[in-house]
Amino acid sequence: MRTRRSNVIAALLALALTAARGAEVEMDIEPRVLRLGESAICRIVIKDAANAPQPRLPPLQGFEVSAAGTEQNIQIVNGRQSLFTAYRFQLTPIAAGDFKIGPFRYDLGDRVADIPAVEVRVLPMQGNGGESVQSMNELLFATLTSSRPKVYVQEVFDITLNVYAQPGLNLDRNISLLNFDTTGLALSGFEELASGREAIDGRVYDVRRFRARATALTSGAFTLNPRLRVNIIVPRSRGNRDPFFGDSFFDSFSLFGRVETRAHTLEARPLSLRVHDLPAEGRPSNFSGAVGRFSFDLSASPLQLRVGEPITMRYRIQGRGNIDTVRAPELALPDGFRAFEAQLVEQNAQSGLKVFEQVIIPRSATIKELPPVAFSWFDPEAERYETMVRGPYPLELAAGNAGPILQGVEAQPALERGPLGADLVYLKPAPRRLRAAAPASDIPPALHGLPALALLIAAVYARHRERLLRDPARAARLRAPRGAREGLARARALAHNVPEAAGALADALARFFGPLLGLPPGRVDAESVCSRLQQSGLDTTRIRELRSLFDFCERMRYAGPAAPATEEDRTALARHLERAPDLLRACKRAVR
Amino acid sequence: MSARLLIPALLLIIACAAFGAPDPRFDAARASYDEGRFADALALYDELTKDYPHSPEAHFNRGNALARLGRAGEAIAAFQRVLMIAPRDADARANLTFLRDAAGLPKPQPSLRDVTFGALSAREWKAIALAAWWLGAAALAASLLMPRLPNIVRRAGVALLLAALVAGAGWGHWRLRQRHPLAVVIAPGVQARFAPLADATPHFDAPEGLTLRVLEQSGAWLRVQEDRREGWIPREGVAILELES
Repeated sequence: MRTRRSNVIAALLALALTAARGAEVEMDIEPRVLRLGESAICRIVIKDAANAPQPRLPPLQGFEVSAAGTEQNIQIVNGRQSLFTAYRFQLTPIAAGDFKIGPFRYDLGDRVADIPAVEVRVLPMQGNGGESVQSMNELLFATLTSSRPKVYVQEVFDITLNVYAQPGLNLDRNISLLNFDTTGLALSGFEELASGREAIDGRVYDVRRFRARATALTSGAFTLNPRLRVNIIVPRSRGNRDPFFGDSFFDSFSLFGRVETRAHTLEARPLSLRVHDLPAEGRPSNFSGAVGRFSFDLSASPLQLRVGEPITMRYRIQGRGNIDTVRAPELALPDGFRAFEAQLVEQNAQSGLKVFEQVIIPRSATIKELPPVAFSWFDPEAERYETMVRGPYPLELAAGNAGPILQGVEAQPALERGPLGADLVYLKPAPRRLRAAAPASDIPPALHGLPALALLIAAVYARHRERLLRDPARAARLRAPRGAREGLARARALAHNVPEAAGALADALARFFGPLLGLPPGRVDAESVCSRLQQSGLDTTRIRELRSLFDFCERMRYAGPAAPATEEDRTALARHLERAPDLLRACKRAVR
Repeated sequence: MSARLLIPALLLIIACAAFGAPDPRFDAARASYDEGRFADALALYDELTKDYPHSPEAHFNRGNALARLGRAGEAIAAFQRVLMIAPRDADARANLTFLRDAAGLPKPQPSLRDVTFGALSAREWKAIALAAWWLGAAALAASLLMPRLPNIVRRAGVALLLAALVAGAGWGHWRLRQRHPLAVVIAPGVQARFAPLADATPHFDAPEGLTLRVLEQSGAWLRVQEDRREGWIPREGVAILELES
């Protein structure tokens, strides 16, 4: 019998293992039996389908579904590697009963997997009065209330958010608003009031209250329907943990692993508001938009002063309402006053206080009093306009003396002033210097060509100089006639001393023929010069004459100064000096 | 006369010429103007502008007298003349604007070239061009003849010659513009016609004070251009603004 039972169990296990090996997508829900206020985790495990799309659970009757994370594990068995991907969803029951979750068809991309249905039982919660609670709405709900049933534009009122939870349901302190549409209202931040307990329909609830200050901006009908996110604290279920897809390691540290929080979205019961325009009937002319209940006080000082001295008006406005937008009352001053802009000097939003100061200056000694000042507001509770008037205040003004800021009207009558406009610029003064006609062209037009001519000459000269610098031989040739002229002039000056004159003459010949023929100074002699000039085509008469000149110079130089010069030598010197310039010019022409 | 006496005498003559007493007719005209006798003032300013055609003051004051007499067209022409002599005269520009605004005349839209070269008068451009030409040529010639001079002399010479070129362009602009001079309508009810005939079809109205450009002269008629429109108007209806000689 025992053997038979063992065989059956083994066969069932093998069948189960085979089935498990064949299944690629599995869904499991834990726990499958739970109470209202608790939640279950639905896990969809996909094997070896890394690229499969993320599964989505459709809306389930009786549950709120929210994603709770994804996990992946790799398993290696006998060298075979398998990838498991688990998608977790949190199922929060909103009503008691038996529910069937599934079956589903899951499209993996290349194939479609069938996920069988799972049955879940939700048990009612035991109420604090011993009764059973069948729905989540009986367990947890929120309401929104307004402090004013009828609201006017610019009225400031309170909006209170109440969160009701039965004592058996544990909520943590964090409550957040989701997508709260406040069109038509200006809403301050919510502040938490003292919590308490309330009995509704025989049930006891813990109530948390949050209040915000709202200001109606425009008229119209508005519906406030906020959604809240609350966290429900539930005991952690530890049974039947999958070694791979159970709660993560770190989850076991929250609240020492005994409890955990489940987020729950709660829709508050809507609040309908109708905002009314301020009535036009009975609206005072000085009404500037104050809505609420206010008190107004005014002090003015000094009241005994001179014309032109300042009076400080101090307006004190306090009360409940749109104090932030309340402005200083407008003064209706008669002629004779000058008023400056009112300045806000004190403000306290908590106590609803605003203090303004305004400086006015009486400019006439005929002024006897400060006119009354009125402040008007609309009282939304009484639904009518109210006006509070302060003053008039008697003034004692000393006339005549100029004040420190402004001159009194009587002290200095205003100048007659015409309207401002444009006009011609007045006459110009006579010039000191006048010319009957335009200054004649001081330089004849033709002379304006002179700079161009000068530039041309300068350019030519610069070019010539440049060429000489590049060609020293040519420069020396050009300088040769001047050297010859200097030598001849010296020779003429020494004509009384024939040997010295002959030396100067020889020097002139060397200075002339050296550069002209490109001869070094020591090579300027009759032979060299005459042969070169003969080649250049100088006629023989000139050649002979030149040779004679060289010979004369040579003879006289080597005779020395001690040798007496004869009359014949003097005659020869004179003849050579006379004919030398012409002879040298001929030589130069021949070389050119 | 020795040189010792000649030099102070010359200096005295120059000083008198430079700082001499103003023409007394200016004061007389001003007195007439101040007393509201604008016709008398205008007569004196007419004389002054004939005697001193290059005096912007005389033209300016004449323009004021004309404006006070209600002759807006002639006044505008007078202020335009001032601006031709002294282009940077803010008073003349202000009076011109005032009169144009008062008459509801369109504001002229000068070209970029007019704005650029109109900053100086023709005489100023000419003076700058000639001075820069002489000085630049002298500096450049000196640097060529004397290579030992600092290089800055050569550079200054080149810069001055370039300045002479620009100023010459300014001068040339004025001269070219004078080929088609400006004219101001000085008579009321003038119409530009399609042909230089008294019975030709009117093309556009030329209100008093309107500034036109003269394109051609044919007998007693002028072919004028205004805002891309061309027409013929009688010569006696406009004052042509000739460039100072």
